[in-house]
Amino acid sequence: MATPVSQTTTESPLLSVRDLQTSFFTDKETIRAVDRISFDIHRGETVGIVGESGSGKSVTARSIMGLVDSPGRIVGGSVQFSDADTVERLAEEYPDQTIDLADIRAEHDPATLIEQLQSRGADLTRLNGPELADRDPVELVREKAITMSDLVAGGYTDQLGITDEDEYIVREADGGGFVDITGASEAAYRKIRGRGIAMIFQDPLTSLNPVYTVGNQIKEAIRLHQGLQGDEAHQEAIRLLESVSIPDAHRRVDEYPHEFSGGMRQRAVIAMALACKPQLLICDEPTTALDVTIQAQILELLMEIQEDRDLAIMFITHDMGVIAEIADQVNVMYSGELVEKAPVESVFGAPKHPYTQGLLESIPGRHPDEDRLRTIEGDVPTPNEEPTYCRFAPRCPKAFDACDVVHPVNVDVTDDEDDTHTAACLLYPEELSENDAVNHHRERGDGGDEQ
Amino acid sequence: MSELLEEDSPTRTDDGPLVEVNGLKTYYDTGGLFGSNPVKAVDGVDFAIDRGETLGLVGESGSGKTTLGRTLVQLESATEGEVLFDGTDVTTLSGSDLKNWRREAQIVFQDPESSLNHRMTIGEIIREPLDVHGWPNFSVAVNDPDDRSVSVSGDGTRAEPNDAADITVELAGAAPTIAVRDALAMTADSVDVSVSEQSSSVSVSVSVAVSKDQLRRARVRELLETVGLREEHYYRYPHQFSGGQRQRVGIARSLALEPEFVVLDEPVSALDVSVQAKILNLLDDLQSEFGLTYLFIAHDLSVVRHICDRVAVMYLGHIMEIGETEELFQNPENPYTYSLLSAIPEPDPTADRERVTLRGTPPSPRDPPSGCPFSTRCPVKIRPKEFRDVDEHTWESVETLREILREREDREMGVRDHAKALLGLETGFEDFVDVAEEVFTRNGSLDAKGVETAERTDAARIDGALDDVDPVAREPLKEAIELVLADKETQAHELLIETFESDCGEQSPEHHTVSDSGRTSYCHRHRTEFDDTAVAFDDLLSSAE
Repeated sequence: MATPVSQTTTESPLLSVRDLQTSFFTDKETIRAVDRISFDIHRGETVGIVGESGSGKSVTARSIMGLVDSPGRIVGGSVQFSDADTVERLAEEYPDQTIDLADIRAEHDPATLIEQLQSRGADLTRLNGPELADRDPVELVREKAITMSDLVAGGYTDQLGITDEDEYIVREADGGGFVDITGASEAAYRKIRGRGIAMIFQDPLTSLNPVYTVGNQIKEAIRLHQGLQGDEAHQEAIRLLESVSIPDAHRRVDEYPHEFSGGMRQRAVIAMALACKPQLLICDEPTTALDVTIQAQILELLMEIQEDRDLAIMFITHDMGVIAEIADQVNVMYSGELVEKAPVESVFGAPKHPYTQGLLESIPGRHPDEDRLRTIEGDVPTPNEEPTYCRFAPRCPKAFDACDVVHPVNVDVTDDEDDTHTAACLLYPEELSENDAVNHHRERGDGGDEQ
Repeated sequence: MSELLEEDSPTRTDDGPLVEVNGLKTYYDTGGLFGSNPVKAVDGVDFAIDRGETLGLVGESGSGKTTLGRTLVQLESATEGEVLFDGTDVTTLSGSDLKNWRREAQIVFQDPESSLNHRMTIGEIIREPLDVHGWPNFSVAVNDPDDRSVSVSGDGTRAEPNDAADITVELAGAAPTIAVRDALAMTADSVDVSVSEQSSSVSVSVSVAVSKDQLRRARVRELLETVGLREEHYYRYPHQFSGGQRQRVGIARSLALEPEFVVLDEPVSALDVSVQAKILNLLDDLQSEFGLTYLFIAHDLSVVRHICDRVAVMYLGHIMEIGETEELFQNPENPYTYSLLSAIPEPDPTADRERVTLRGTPPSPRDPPSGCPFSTRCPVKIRPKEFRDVDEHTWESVETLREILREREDREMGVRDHAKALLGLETGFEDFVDVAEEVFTRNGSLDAKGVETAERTDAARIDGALDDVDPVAREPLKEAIELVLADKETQAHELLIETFESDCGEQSPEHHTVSDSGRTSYCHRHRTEFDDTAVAFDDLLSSAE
């Protein structure tokens, strides 16, 4: 059972990933592990990321957490985290890297800025949503469809020399604003991790230190992030263990990780993450190593916690059953790219991208009357060059000639007015003829994805 | 096969089950100076696997399914019971008999990463069993119309009567006709046979012009092709392959010696769903091509449902339910099967099911519960008459309290704990009022109710906590909590057992036959005086609403 979709599209997202690109530079080649992906996560919402191994799911999570190790690095795009508390804390710490929107508004008029940008021939497509594509930006500003905040977020003020590229904290006068995490230094990252965004991994043993008691490790997080000490911290640790349904927490708090079972270790890790009071919880295959009965317990726990705390969750898994259970919104990744994005009911009910279709078809039990399982031929390719073609084409049963020469962009494939469903495939938009659809992708391919 | 095997199995036929397991137990750590407390990984199982059948084995980790699989192929030795393979008890085999038998039963491991040697090429890996077993042994079958006694010399050895011989020599006619088995990459031309016939005996001398080395290499190439790899993969190393390809290598290796029976120990658990589908299709193809019999161990129930003819569900070393796959999935009779199936996430977000979530984890197989192994977690455990109508909250809290006491008893005390106990510093139970409050108060702690706990006496706090409990259960629970606070936790535990235990925790159930197809289930609920599992779960789920 998926929790009802709680996101309201009018509210601005808690986390907004735009054109994020993370590459690994080896002697042999450059691997574009995450290749210009964009998606949003709202408060109280669970966004699932699915894909086969090697599709870039975990690198996406690590990019958001600032945990990409050499030879990898984020080479483009932005990750905007709009948590007022985080913005405030960072702005105080790093005033030199903070932009006060109020100041900029006082000095500049967005319409004039857009005119300046146009006269310089800057690429303004990233500002235009699909429905705004053919309209005059100056007019849009007057209608407030584009604001100063958009210009700053899009990096246009950097181009004009109004702001500096290393200014990544954007503060609104009323306490809002966002932090572009990709610009943060390691020290600043440490302020964001835990209290802003926490992460739990597949193997709980890698997150637990075997020589300290579980209680000690939770208390460390409590000390660092909540400033509690001594008995207060101890009681808080017990309370946290109880909140993740560990029975007899009074005794368990003094035990070592090896005395916990696999499911209980994962609960303890979740308790540690909660000790930091995060706004966003990234779960990287947290139940893959667990039995189904324990998996059911953990999923139930995560849903409860989310409801209690209005937590945003990004949930990475390759198990479509788990995604159906927990996610509100699903992003399907293939070879570093985001190929389909939709509410969970649409992904399972009406998958559009042939890859998503293939992935769902290969689950045992989808066609009980068939003897053989349906498969997707071939393997996931390594994304080691600029995509000028569809990376799925060699394996795609519906591929045609254009797939080898035109790179598909995410286009709107919504059936139902209420949700947004996009897919990166030349077969769409469905209402266009094949030729027109291909041309549509070709033109848009130069200007970035629709949002 | 050896002489001994043949003598042992005079009744070998093709219609009985291929594998028959009777009362099998596999314990670990059976030794020990101060009396042993072994891990009862497999604790008395009986079942049979028919020829050409796929039997699925499912259960949580620690249920003993891998140990059972390993015992069947004699990678672990059985503590008790027998494993009949073609009528021969293989648990008694040793030495060369065991080695010869191993050709018939092979295993594919879960993790292709660790089960392939990284320093060997794929070709060497697949070839290793051939080298170890001296394949091919050029077994020669001599078909003599006069039925004289036959001796074989030269490169060949005499084939056992029931084995497929590598070389068959037909003595009818002037010159002997020679035939070579398909699995060997050579023609009859490469075999030179000289026959000297006497009235009562024939001696055949065989010389083969092709080296075993060549034949083995050809066999490996053929195997590579069989499992969907290519010939050029022969000289590559495991790290150059993807997970799915490595699993194919593992499968090719297990097939090298032409086994009849293959244990597949979670062969697709580490793979992506699209790769998993390909491997499952491959296993299916191989089974029909070579007439293999599979024991398929898995924890992914949708995979089991797809590939298996019959399924056995294991819990704590016992088979809880075993029967036809579809029947068992659609209408589980054992409460454990029911709960396990209920936990599978369904790849359909619109599905709206009532889910049974089991509490806790399986108990330690070193110290399994008395009675039914599932009794400590069973959501539809049979209750004593007087508590049959208490509400779910009360029953759940009683079970939780028992679980906590049980775990505290099992807890291994470290040096520090012992020292503390000796000094009277800490008994581990001084916080038990907190625990009781947590367990018995509806929706967690009293803080939620806004009750100030700090200034109340223990007795008042216990009474407060028990307010939410059904009146019938209050008295014994209060007594038990007071016993714990008086450091008599063993008595407290005993009191709880005495009061709240039913047959489930006291007697081992029987394997009841629950359907026409011969499905059996290990549960007290099948006795006529109790409600059936399905009814019990319906009641449980409707009371939860």
